[in-house]
Amino acid sequence: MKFLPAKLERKFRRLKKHSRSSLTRKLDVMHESARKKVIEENCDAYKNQKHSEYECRKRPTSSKAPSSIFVSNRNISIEFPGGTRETFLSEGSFHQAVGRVLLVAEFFAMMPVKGVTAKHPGDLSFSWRNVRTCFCLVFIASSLANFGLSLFKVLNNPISFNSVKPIIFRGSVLLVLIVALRLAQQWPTLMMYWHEVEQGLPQYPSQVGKGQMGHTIRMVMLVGMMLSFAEHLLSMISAIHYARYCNSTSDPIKNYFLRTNDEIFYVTSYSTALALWGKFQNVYSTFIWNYMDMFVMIVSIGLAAKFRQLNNDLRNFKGMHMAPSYWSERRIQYRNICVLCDKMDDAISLITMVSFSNNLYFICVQLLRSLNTMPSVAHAVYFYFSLIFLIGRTLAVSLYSASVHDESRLTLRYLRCVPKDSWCPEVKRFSEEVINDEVALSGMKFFHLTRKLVLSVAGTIVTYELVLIQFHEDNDLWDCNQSYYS
Amino acid sequence: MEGPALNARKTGPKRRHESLLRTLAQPANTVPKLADKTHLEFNVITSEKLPEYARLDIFHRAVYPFMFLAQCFAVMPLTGIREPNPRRVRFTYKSLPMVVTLTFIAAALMMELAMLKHLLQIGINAKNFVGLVFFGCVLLACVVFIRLARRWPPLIRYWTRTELVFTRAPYEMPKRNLYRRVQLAGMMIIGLSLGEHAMYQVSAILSYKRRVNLCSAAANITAVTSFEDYITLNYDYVFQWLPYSPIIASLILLINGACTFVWNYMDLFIMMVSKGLAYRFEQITARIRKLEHEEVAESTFIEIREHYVKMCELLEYVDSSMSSLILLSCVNNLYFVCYQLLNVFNKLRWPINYVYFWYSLLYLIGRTAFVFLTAADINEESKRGLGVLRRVSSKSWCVEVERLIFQMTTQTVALSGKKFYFLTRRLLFGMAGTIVTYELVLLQFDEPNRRKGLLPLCA
Repeated sequence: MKFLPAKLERKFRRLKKHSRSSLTRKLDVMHESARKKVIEENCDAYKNQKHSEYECRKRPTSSKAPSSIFVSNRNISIEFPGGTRETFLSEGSFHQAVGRVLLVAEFFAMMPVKGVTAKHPGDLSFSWRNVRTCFCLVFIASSLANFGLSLFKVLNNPISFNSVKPIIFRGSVLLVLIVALRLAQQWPTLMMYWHEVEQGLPQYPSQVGKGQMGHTIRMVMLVGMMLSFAEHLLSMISAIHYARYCNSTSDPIKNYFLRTNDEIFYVTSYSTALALWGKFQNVYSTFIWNYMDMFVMIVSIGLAAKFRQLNNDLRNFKGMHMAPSYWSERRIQYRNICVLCDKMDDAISLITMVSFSNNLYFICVQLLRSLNTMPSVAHAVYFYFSLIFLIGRTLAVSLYSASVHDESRLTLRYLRCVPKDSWCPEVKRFSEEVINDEVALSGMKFFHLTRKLVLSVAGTIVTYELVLIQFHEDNDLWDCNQSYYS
Repeated sequence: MEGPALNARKTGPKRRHESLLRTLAQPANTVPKLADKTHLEFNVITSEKLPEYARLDIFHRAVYPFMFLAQCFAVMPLTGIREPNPRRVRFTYKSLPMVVTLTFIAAALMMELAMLKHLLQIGINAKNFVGLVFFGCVLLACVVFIRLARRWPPLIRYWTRTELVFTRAPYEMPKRNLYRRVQLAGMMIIGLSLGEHAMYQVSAILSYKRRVNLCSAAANITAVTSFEDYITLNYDYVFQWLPYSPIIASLILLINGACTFVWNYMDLFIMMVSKGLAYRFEQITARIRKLEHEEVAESTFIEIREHYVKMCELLEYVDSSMSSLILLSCVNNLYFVCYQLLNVFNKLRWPINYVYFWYSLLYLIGRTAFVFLTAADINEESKRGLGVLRRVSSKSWCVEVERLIFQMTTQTVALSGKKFYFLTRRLLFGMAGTIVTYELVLLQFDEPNRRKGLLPLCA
């Protein structure tokens, strides 16, 4: 239908063709080509990865022998002594990222799984006759003995909010050890399922992206362990000072051991072997108490990274016209990650709950203690450092575990930009799933770890403090007969 | 007058086709077609002459007087705020506002450390902790504002680009435009806070004068009141390690005034941003309301939904930039309201003290509630269109309406404090309940102190 005169019609047609400026057209072309490149790169990276994985499994597993590098197109074999390209490339998988962390845990009698540093999760295995598992069982027995001695001492003295601290500490460490043993049994299957889900996700476009999750996990572990080591050193220094203040015998070392392992020497007389056993037990218990939180953080980082991988891919195609098969594929991948989240949640739920309750109790107790005067400067430094470390660690665990829930919700941002033409029942189903399903880690399904929980935990702590302050008295908390361990 | 073109490629022959492009760009007069992105973004701007920003109803023009005033008080150091074009706003480290800000931060830090040292000597308790919290909050607010200023130029450009759609048909300007709304609320807060600061000085000076008179009458010596004496008494923690001089005294008063302004500016800024965002959602709601009894084509709903999604994205971007400020402001307000409420049952010496105390308490509660309600307005406005959308006739019903309803009901469109909590009306209600609970408990603790009554005047 002509509604313009012929001359203007021609100009109109010319305008229509150039109705956008050359600058914007250039930008559009660049944008399109960049997007096409990303898609191509994703396809190539996926193909290469499949190929290299295949090569990896075909090659005999001896790392000492010089290996050959097969270039995919041509059959040129170049011999290099020592490492190959594959040993330096990480796949960006959770199993590889978490390998060294679990190795450290194995030294401290947790997670006795064989093959944690292997490249492929198929090499993981758990067996009851392994030396790691035996070490674990021996340590559980020794912790049980220690817990029993602690319980005996506390029950024979007047019970108050502060005096049950050693029981709660050792009890939660014991519980976590038992749960970790059960988790170690399930770990190979969990990691194989994780590997399957990871293979199905859209691949990272670059090596930097692949290494991100591993880098974060290593940093978290490093910082956490160093701070807890510093805290343990400070506690030893302050215990030495305190032992001098409460000196019952003339030997300072004996005083120190009598103070820190008082529940052992409540029933038996002093002996060096028992003192050393007590010290060993203390060091390991402190590590495990910290490791609870680190482990929850690491699993959360892994799960959030998977959601982020999916979201980054969705972001590349934001607002573009995609086929329903694309949305169907993404929806299934999202569903897979949600099922993975559920499985991990079932496995570590008890650890999460013990960790949160523990943190809540210890923050309340320490805040109460902070109202009193400190016997010495060393004690004050140790006390405030440990309080700040405790609060910081609790905040870090809450925020990292809440990031799983946050990342799973971010998908909605990209779904709402789908233009009218590519809207289909698949997209509708996807967005409804994202909204209605609460994807988050939980504590035995009692509470879900979201950002709202942090606020309510803070409110709970303040409420309990306000009530407990009324019952506190200044003099009985730094009693020489009180169990020292914090 | 043809100003400098936004795109340099504009040459003579193309200007003749501007009128044609303008007819193309207006969707209302043409046959409904698929909403093309180009119509909504670049062409709307470049198809016409450079928009006269000075006359447009945009956020940058509404907010610039207060931002310029803030620069005079050493927060948010930006250059080029007074220009109408928001693309001229820049942040550089080597500029006069930045120098002023850094000087102010250094001075406030010195006062805070002096107060900390003084309090560590006499012992910290819940009552004298408030000075430390005040200076601490002001310092943190300055740092947060500098970080916000670094992100402000891209933010205001993105904001203006998004809201230019709302400045032309079919969107109508609501009854009071954005400029007037922001001015009214801003002037009110600034006026009341000036009143509070003035009354603080008056109350302090009168109390000092009366105390000197009474004590010298009791000790039978002549009353001597001087500026030096007053300043050394009130700000003794500074003069413990600085010698007295009139310059230092006036500097202290100036810094105190600037700190009070920054303390108020946190809330003022949040209020301005909330009004700017809620205004656009109100325009969307008004457009939806106009469609109530008409037969609407699908393209209109497509367009409305796209604009709504753009506003949601703008809100999320602003939220990610401003979240720390909102968290800081909430913590600040909560602490000061709790602290002031604790003193409600205290006995004060003179009527002027009572007047100042009640004025400051009511001002504090009023300002907190006002900021919260303004921020909660965004959430309210974003959902008001639901009533009309649900009544759309079956003939006009389409997938886009369903999507829009789904989005409005399921997403929380609100500012947040680092995503811990969303600023909605429900939050204000919950906070009020929490404050009352904590006050009831804390008042019990304070009971023995209060029973002691007033301390002797002339120590």
